[in-house]
Amino acid sequence: MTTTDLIKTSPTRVNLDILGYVGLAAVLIIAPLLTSNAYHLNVFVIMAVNAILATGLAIVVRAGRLSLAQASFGGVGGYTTGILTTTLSVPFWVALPIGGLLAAAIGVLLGLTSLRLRGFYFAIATFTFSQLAIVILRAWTDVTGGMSGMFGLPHPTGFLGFDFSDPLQYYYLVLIFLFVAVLIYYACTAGTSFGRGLSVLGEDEVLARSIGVSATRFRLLAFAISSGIGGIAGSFGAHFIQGVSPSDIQPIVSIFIVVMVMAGGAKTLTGPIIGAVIMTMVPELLRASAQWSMVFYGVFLLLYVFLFREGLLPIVSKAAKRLLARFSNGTMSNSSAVPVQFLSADQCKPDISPTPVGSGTFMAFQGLGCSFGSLRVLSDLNWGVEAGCINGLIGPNGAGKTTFFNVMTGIAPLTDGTVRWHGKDILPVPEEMARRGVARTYQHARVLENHTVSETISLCAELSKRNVSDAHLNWLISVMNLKHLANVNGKDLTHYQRRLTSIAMAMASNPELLLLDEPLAGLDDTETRELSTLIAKIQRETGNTILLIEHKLSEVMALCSVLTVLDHGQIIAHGTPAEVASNEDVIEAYLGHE
Amino acid sequence: MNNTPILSLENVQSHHRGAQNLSGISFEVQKGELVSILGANGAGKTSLLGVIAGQFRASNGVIKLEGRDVSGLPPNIINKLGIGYAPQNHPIFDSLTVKESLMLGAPNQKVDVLALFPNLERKHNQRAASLSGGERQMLSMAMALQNDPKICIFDEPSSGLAPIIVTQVFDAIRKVVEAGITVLMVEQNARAALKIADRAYVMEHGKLTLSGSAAELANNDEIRRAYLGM
Repeated sequence: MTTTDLIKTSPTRVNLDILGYVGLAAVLIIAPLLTSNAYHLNVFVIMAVNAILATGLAIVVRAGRLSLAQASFGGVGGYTTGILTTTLSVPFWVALPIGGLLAAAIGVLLGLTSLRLRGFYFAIATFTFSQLAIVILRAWTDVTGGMSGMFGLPHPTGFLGFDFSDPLQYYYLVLIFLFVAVLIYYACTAGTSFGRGLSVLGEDEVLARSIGVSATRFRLLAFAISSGIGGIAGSFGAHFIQGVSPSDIQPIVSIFIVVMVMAGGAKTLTGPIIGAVIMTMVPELLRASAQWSMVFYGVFLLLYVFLFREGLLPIVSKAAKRLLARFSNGTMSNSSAVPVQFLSADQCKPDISPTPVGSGTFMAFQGLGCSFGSLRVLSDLNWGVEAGCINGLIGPNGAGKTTFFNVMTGIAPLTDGTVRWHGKDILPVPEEMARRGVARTYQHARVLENHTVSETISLCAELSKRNVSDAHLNWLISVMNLKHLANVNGKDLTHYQRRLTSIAMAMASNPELLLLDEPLAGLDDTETRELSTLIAKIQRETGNTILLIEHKLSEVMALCSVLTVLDHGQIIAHGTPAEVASNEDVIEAYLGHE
Repeated sequence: MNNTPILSLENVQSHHRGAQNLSGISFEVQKGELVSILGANGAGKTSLLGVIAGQFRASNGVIKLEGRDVSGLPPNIINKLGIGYAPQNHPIFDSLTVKESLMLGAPNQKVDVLALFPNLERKHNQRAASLSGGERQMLSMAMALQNDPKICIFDEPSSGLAPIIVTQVFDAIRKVVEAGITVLMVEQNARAALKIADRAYVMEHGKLTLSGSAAELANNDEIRRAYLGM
């Protein structure tokens, strides 16, 4: 019994990835030994510096923001160590961390003002910053050398017999820092709880916040790390060519770094390195005729846009995995989040909801209102959720039911009134509500498209920072009939499977209050019956509180202990299902006369 | 000429990711009819509507609009030729107001679209982004009625609607049909669908397995058990 319950995670995936990393590291270590040409070695060093810049940039790209200022952060590092080592005679190894930290600090300042911007707007803000940096560096001639920049920067001081004026030794020095950068990047993707939160944030911000990820804090930290790594790379670049000038931080340089990340594969660990290798090495190989190098760029970018928008590395690894999958039954997932650890059937047990039974209303509202500009959606709601049972919220379309959920979870503004949580006044903020124990689903089931069901559920438990046992997650997966879907990616689920998964995601944090927004909409009769039985079962076995928005009346009447009816943003009735069903106002506004 | 069906499908097949989701569908819709397709989720109902509206390509078979082969034409041309389509996920333009959304195509000559949906009429100056889930659905249906379609295709018009509004929406559909616009709809709410439809088909695993007048099907024991919960 116990062995059949275990779901085997595919070992192929992990092995193949590790094989790829070791192979790439070996190539990076061995390749420069095959040439003694000083010029070629210079190209290797520049390539490694670019790879660090790109790896740093990939961190903030993962968080869902595209920066056009990575070269500028490199410039901050280069100029800082340049000024410190020449004008102030500070040793390089003391100056280096200062350069990195200053770049990170400037990243934080830029992030505080502009990380809330999305898409193009953030890119434009960082572009503006990069222009501003050039203007300052040019104008501050006394310190920065103005237009012509600084030259004569010293090589890093050698130690243990190493001499970093030798390009080969310099290359290995930079390579070590590249490996460190990759480790940090790994920590920012799947290696740590922070990293896993960040990748969820990059995928779906609304969902990430509602499962407990603090968007602002996570993104700011990611941007600081990304800029800091950029600063370090910039120092190594500047002290290798022994000079730094405003032309090193032109927008085109930043754009090349963006192309390295994107074309290599922004969602992979080593994609940015592959991008840096291609974008640095190949044009150098074609340098004999300058026009050919431009043709190469053109063709490469066209191929990227048309054939491998996910990046070069993902298509190569996908092909390799498909080949391997013929020999074994490996599944594919492009995340490396930890899936739920499966236990034997007798160890599946729900965590009991932390709300004491009979504690009355632990979440209540007084005079709650919500307006968007002049549009008033909710006004003067006085209501409290009944603990330990299923509460129903019904009302005509456009009555404000979903907006009510949004106000409770901090997505929509609380423009009037107060929200009380266990007797204390609070201002709902999505990630804080998730940690307090308010979990929700959305009308159109939101799941993590690029994570498997099992990974998603364990991520939701982890990121909520709430106390959840493995037994609870196992119980959840088996009670929601998701066991056979454990290794399926979110984007491959059917409509009904997405619904089940989204409810399991919300339940994964063992919430005190579960908000379900039309869980039965769009389901056929068999599915409707099955899911409403499941909702009742979840409530019964965990003892938690559920607030349910639903239009399928026969299910609402059977499931709910209390019903509240909303119309035009106001409560028009409240009571047991029977009382509500016979209320004239409700019949008029909602049920209609038969 | 009068006997040419407004819409006819002959042995239409389609595939999604290598798996067949429509395996040989043939049926006809006559002018002025209200035809409903019933079936469980995953039966292929949405794929069928998508293929008719030109959103997906059929791998085999012929789709004719008033005798003219329209299979394989792009969706915008199919709309111009007279098929209005309100898809299941009701895509609308968030930045436009309700009124503006209904000025994207030519206004319907046969019915006053806004009068059909009182909820939308009330909010005609509001941006679509501020509409609730059910209102988005109604707007999507209203948009499908632009450009004077000969036949309108609605994918689950009642899903996510309050009971009173389900009644309103079905009344609206009936009015559309009375105005001379043929309607083909997919519905989960079999009871309500059979109440207003003229004819219905039952779809299972990519095939039409039963057909008949709405009254016949409503009295069919198999249907009553599977879809009406009796």
